[in-house]
Amino acid sequence: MDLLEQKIKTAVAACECDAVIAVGVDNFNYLSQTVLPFAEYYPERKAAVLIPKEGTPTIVCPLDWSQALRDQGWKGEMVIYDETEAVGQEALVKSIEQLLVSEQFDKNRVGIDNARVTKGLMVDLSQSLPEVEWESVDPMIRGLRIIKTPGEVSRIEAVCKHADRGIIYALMHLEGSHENPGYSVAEFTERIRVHVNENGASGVGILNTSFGSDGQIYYTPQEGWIKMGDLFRMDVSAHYLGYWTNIGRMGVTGRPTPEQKAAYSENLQLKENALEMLKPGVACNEVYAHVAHTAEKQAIGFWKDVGIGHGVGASHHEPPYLNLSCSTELKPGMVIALDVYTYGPRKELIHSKDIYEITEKGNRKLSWYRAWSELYKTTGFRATH
Amino acid sequence: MKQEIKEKVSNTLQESDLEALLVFGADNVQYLSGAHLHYPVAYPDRYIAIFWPKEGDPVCILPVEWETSFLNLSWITKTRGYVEKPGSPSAITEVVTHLVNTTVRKTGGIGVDTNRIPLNLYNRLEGSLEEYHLESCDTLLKDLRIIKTPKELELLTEVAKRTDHTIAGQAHHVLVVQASTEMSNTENIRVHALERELDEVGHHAIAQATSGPNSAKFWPNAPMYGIGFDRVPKHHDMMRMELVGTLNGYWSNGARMLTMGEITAEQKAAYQGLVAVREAAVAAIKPGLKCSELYQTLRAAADEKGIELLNRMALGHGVGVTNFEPPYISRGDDTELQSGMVIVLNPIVPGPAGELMMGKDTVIVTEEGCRIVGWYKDWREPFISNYTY
Repeated sequence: MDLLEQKIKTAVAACECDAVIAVGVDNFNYLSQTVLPFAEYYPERKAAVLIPKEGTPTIVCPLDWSQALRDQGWKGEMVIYDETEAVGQEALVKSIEQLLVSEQFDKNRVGIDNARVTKGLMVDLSQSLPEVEWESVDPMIRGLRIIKTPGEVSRIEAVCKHADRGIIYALMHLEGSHENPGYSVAEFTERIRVHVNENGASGVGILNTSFGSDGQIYYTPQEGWIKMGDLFRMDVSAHYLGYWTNIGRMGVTGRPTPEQKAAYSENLQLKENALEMLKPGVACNEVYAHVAHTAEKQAIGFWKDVGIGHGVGASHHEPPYLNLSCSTELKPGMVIALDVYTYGPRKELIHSKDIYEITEKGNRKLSWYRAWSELYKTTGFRATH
Repeated sequence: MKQEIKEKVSNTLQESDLEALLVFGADNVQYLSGAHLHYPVAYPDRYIAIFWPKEGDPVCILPVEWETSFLNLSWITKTRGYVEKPGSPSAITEVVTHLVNTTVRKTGGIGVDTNRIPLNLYNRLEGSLEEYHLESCDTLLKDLRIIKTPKELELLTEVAKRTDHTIAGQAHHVLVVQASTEMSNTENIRVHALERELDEVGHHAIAQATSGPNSAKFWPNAPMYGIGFDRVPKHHDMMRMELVGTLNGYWSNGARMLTMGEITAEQKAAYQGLVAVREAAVAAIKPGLKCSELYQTLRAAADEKGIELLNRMALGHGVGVTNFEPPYISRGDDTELQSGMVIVLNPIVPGPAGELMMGKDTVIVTEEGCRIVGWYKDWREPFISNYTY
């Protein structure tokens, strides 16, 4: 990951700010190359990373996150804010103020991630540091993150394998268990998480399984019991050392009906169609338009409004976006989750979401562990442990 | 809960100078809508909002992909789905602008949760709603959320109870002779959480079991958070068992200590530090007391008894639609405690082997004082594991 460190340094050196601060969890992770524990779930408690044009970067964070960051190899400075003196945002602002003053950036131009910093935090920072000229570095961060280094791609590829194996191992538990005593949806979902982790991922993010008519919508609470004959969807995002996959797989409890098979084939057909266009020089909305055109021509219904994919990297959902409005041109080093939603016989949402790296010649599948060329059938014998 | 929250929000809005609320934080959206979607926090470039006018029904504005899932879970029945222009706030801005223009008087103030809305989205909205006055409604929301309704108290009590039962349930399986790895214990916590029908979705429910030197850290083996490792706890080790659990969008934040076999004198003495701070808190908590005063009281009680409390972290915090929210038991928080607040007490004291010893209790502030909720066992002692079957 040395290449990434160099890339970040070069970008900061080239920008018009004297230092860059990131407060968004994803941007923090990317720029510090560390992962915070469950930070998204603490809206009033934030960490920040300061990267100066010259000198040593600094992390500002609460005490209970600090050691974890050190343990991940953070070699820069660290300011731990005191939550016994000030709470929430105030504690963070005080520490950033002290840091910028001590580093003599308090009268300078400082870049910040406007798409992540809240209006309230910005007001407080501006009041504490009235002479700082704040500037958005969103385009710089977007430009950095959208093209992955080989090291980043290899982490995404690793976690694709962890996630697919986790799903398959959970499916193995489901084999032969539908009738007696049966699995609850929650238990099956949890089995996926356990097996994704056991296969080496460093954590699971979005996790959703939908059986039967629950699969008609994007997400339902993980409740109810699994029964025979249902088409089901397994959606998982997971990370490995700060890099994410985001995959979706389909199965059927028992043997698929001809209608279920046909519906899945239609989905794969559109996906193949998209893959023809997943190469450098093609704009994201051109890929989308190509699929939309084919779907119309072949009378395949697909969920148009949500697009057909997005980037993955230091987050599980990021630019570029394969939809009608994203004109970003695909380039080598981008990593795309291709995600075409079509419909099953009972209007279930069907997808087979895979991850591809854009290469000089076209694309390379990173989620290669299993082809998923047909619906996974749970028709085997019971395996319990 | 639907009726309670709707009435509370509507009444607060009627009494305020605002013409409408416009909130974007995932926690605030959940509070106002009752829809416990677990994933919006993980989509920083996607926006979801609740627009709640003084006159008329609230509306949720969200990406079309989430629309039916939201309606499935919310008491709000009106939505405006938008087709995303990802990474750009323009699509949601267009929908919000239209709603505001057709609902709110031009001179009206609109309350925005400025401590949640990203700056780029705020700037865009400010530009397109230039005839309106956007102002912060963070304090209004904080005041709404900080005092729980009876139904919220019921749910928070239930989730605290199930969390404690989960941890104790896992502890029953721990044996000194046939000890299993921390990873196995961690997983056992999650399995017991499932058995108690807590919602476990993705990062939503975090379990951790750490022992010996690993429990000297908050998050050992980073970034493999909440996975555990191959260390097998030894005789006379202490094990810390943690679960951040959730049920229908409301949270608990639990942590308990276990000793591997009979408790040693040193462990007992250190654990009594936790007990003493808890007892001091329960004796002190009452409506009217400031959080900063409670903090000072607990510090003084610890100092008097020679208990070494971990510095730089608050001694407790609120819990509700997030697992960490106001009020904070800190010198920096002058919030007055009031009946209906729910606090997770979280004093941390060092164990004899450097462990970070925790005993998180959920406490409801009542008219008379407070009560601890959810205890499955009497935590004046740690869980003492059996030696063998």
